[in-house]
Amino acid sequence: MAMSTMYPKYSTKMENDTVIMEQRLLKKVSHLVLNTTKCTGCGICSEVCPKEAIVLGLVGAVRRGAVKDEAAISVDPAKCSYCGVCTILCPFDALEVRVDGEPSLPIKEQEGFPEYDFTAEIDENKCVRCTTCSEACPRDAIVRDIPVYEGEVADGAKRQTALDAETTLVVDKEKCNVCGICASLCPALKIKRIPFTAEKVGSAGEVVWDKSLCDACQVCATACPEHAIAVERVVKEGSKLAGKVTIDKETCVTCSWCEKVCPEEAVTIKKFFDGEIVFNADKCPGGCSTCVDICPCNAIYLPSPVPALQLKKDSIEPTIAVNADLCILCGACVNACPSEDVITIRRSGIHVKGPETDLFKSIAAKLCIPRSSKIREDTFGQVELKPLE
Amino acid sequence: MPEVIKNVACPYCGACCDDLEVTVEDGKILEVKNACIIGTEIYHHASREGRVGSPRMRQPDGTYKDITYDEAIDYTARMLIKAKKPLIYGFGSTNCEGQAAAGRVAEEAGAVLDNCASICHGSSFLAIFDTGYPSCTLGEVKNRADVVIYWGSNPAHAHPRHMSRYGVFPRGFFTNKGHRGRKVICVDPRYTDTARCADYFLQVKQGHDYDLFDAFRMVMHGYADDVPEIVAGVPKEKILEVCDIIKKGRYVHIFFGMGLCHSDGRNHNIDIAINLVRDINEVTKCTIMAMRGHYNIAGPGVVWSWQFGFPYCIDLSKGSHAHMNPGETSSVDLANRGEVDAFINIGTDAGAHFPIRAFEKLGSHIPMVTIDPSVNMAATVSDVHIPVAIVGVETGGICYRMDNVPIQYRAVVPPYNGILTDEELFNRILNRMLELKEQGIECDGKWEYAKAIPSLIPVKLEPEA
Repeated sequence: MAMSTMYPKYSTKMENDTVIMEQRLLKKVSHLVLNTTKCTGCGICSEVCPKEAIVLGLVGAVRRGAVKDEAAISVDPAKCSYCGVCTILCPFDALEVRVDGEPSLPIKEQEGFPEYDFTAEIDENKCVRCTTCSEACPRDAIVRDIPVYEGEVADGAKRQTALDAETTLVVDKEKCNVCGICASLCPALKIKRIPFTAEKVGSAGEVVWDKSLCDACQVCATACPEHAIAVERVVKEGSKLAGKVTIDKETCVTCSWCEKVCPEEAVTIKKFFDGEIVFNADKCPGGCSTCVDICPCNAIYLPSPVPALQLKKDSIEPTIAVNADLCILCGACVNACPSEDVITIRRSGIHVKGPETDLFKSIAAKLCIPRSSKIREDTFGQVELKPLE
Repeated sequence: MPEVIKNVACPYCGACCDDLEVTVEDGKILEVKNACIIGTEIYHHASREGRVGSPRMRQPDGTYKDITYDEAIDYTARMLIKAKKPLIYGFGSTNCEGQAAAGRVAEEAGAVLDNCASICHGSSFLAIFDTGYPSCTLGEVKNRADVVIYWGSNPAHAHPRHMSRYGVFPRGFFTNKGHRGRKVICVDPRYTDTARCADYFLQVKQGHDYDLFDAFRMVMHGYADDVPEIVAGVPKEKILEVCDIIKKGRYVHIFFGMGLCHSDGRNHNIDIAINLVRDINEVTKCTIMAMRGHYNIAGPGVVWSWQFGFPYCIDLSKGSHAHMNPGETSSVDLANRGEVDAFINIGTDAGAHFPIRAFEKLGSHIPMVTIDPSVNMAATVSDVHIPVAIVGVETGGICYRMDNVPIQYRAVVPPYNGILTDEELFNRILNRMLELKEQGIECDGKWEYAKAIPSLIPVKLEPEA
């Protein structure tokens, strides 16, 4: 083999959830690693690649799991310069550049490129540690660092420990005849009985209360035949669950589901893209729903059918719709849509921090080209969009 | 020059797809578009080598010899007159014109006239007599149904384009989201390919559908709390989940098949299904439909209802009025009890698809005529085999889809070797019967050509010593 063909050596290999592109020089090895579970097929990497080394493939099929041994994007390991622009701009944290096995982003270290600037914060004072945002988040970006209570798992923390409260239980010894009912009902109560003896026949002893097990539920007080028990609980003002809810900024994609659903208005999200998304349902063929399945923000939905009572020819619900407030303008839907002109995305601005270099400006201009999908592409099996004005 | 014929209707299953495009040249079929694999084969079969081009009669040595149509018609007419109780059975695969002509022949012969319903959806008919038939056309399902239930039916294999034309995938007027707007429920003991297409699969214990219907009806009547934890192998929570889907549906439709008709309970599986439909109609709209098998098996039901008032198992032996009592006048029961003395197998294959104990009494003991375009098992043991034109390929006519919608079938090539259609054949048999009767031929329970063929009696093989 001729020397000229030996180095650099290029290869691509797929291992479980990763695709690894490799450039091997005599001493240095560069890798671009794609995490296929994180990749959403949004295509931002493909648009921003200075070397045009990244193409989009079967976005819908891959993301739905219909195609197993392929990723939504494919990178030419020989065209790639391992610059890391894709890594910086991937909103889903799916790409990583490694040099000699270590994560490496020299372009960022040398301040040659900015990064996304966005806000994703929860006001700790307003947050009541409810579960709404973590349930709603489509990316599992909510870190709910709260003790797990028995309502969630049987052996979780006791529910009374969730309250910052003072509980008192008083037994009126005059009235108490040591019948034992309270102790048989509640694990927080025991009776210390004076052993029965023929010498002095009767029931005597005392009720012992374990404060840490008491729920202040009042069952003992109500069940006591002699009305001898009084339970009182004083809850401290502003008492809320221990712990803290935060947003993992690595995972967050600024869809703002959490902001919209938070009952306390404790969340502030500022997106990294400005712009608009428009759905033209008249052109949607229906019965496809690929966009719904692959949207990383769960922003797209199938409108519910109108009840028969209100049903008229002109009131048939549209086949598809988007909640633009939840959309991050990532573009995955446009890439996956098999129809034409159904979805239009226009990005008008990108929020970044750091040096806005010429390279960045040229990339930003590309990201801001409005686009829709195309039915017939020039290259088979490769996503090609229709640029709009 | 090849010619493309459009809007051709397929003569296989009850879906009666009428959107086929067939390319023909010089009377040969070159290509079939839009049909499923089964339908495609029907058309190519017509142009294949080895078609039977004239009537054939079995000789004493067991071989077949070609005879003329006149001879074959004479044999059949004589057999029908001389027999005391001939049975004319089949008709799943011919047009309504043929079925009407056969009705006239049966009336003249005082025969028992029966169709494949008696071994297929006949039990559904019995249930319909009991409880009614709240049904619809397939277009209603396509345009409105948002909950579709395939209960004991497997269209993926039996009616291959049913799900794509009517039940699951089409985007209708009020169902613009296709299958994404429909909830599809499959009830079957097996995880069929239909179940794979469904959103909910209830794996019912084979033969326990009645229990499951009962549970569904309890839920519909508000007694959900009293449903046991498991019914017919299906967990209660799944029953409640599916009932909830049904109650929330805007238009519910149930398709049922042999899973109900052929399992324990027969007609009672169907009548409780129909009663469930009635219950669901208290809450929302619901219809039910039998997944009729052959492309025109609904045809004899309709034609003979016009002619005689009964859809199947019609005993015309009284000569003046018809009588129907499945169980007594149904083909398999008549055969099992040895109550017929001549048999015409038309547009079916009783040889392949009857229980062997029933067929051995027909095929080997009494004279038998098979009227069929091709050689099938019934033809191989018949005294006379009369080839006819294939409906939908070589001749047109009216056929009734599974929802009783008449579809105009058309011919794409001329009949092979100039063979007759079923209608022409039966008309000629009728005319010959009238001629023979004028000549004084009478019913005497004897026939001239009948020969028992002991060597063909199916017997249990003795194990080798």
